[in-house]
Amino acid sequence: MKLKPLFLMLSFAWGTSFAQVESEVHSDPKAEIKALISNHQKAVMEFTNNFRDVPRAERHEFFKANYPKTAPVIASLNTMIDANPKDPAMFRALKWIASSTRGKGLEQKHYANLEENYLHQAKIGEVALALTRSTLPEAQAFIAKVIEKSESKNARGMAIYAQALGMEKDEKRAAEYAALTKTLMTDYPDLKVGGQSVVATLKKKQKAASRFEIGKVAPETIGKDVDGNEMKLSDYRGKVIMFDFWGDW
Amino acid sequence: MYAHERSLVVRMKDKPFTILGVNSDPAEDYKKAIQEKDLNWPSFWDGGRTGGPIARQWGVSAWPTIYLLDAKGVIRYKNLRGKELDEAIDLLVKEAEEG
Repeated sequence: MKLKPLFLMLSFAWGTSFAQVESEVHSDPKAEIKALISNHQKAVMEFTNNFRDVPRAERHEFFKANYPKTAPVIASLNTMIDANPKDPAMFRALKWIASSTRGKGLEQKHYANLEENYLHQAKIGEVALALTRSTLPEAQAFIAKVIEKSESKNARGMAIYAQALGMEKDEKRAAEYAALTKTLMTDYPDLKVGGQSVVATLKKKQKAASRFEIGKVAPETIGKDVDGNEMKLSDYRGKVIMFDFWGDW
Repeated sequence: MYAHERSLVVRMKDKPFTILGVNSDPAEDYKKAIQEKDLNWPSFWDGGRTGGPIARQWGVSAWPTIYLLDAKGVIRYKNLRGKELDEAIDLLVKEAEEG
């Protein structure tokens, strides 16, 4: 009987030290980064599966309460980056911080790290693409720097594409967007992103968009209202139409 | 955002103008919104999701997206908001009235 508490204590201590050893001795940062990221991805997939069944009215709360937090993952990645900033395995960590936070998680030291160690490699273009939807000035400055300074043509192309995608929906920047598209079509015919030809994607978009450009007659549009009654755009010819794609969010 | 639409419906009551929606909500949510929020303009129902057939036909990938068509059916403005939207509508309605 006297032995039992001691045994418990010992096994507890052993368990603890074993766990510590296991995390400290993880000598493969590449594998550790991969595990951190894929665990988070698994959690996001699980969240997404559950989210589908949540009634619409509760979704906002459910999202706030249950979406897997990126902050602890980023903290772990940052500890690793700080311990060994020049290790090439850190690129994936930096890229993930960029994409999972749309640039908000990137600090000055991260940008400096990326520029110092990867500016002339094609893969820095992937970071530029990850920052596409970021409106942060430092993210946009980073993309501009890749375009201006990278010696990798692929990286420059991806950064130009990132810049173009970032302003695609902004009517006021249509001229800039057109100029970037033209540059990509003329100077980067072989550029691929995610295995897809960028020029082919752009051409497809242009063709689709040209039917709906300002000055074109809107094509006939046929559908039903929510009660199943047929309706069509031409029913309203003779009136000014505010054609409004909307939803109740 | 409905306040603006509702005020347009009232302000343009006797003018050659209509809002024509393309709604991307699930049917029951949409029906509830029509009742509770008094959404009284005609609207296509685009299959209950973003990326429905009409959104795909028009290449719409961001919501809301607003096109302004003149009385002849020509696309004249895209994605205006607030005061700019009101001014453009007034201009097109004046055009239509002066025919």
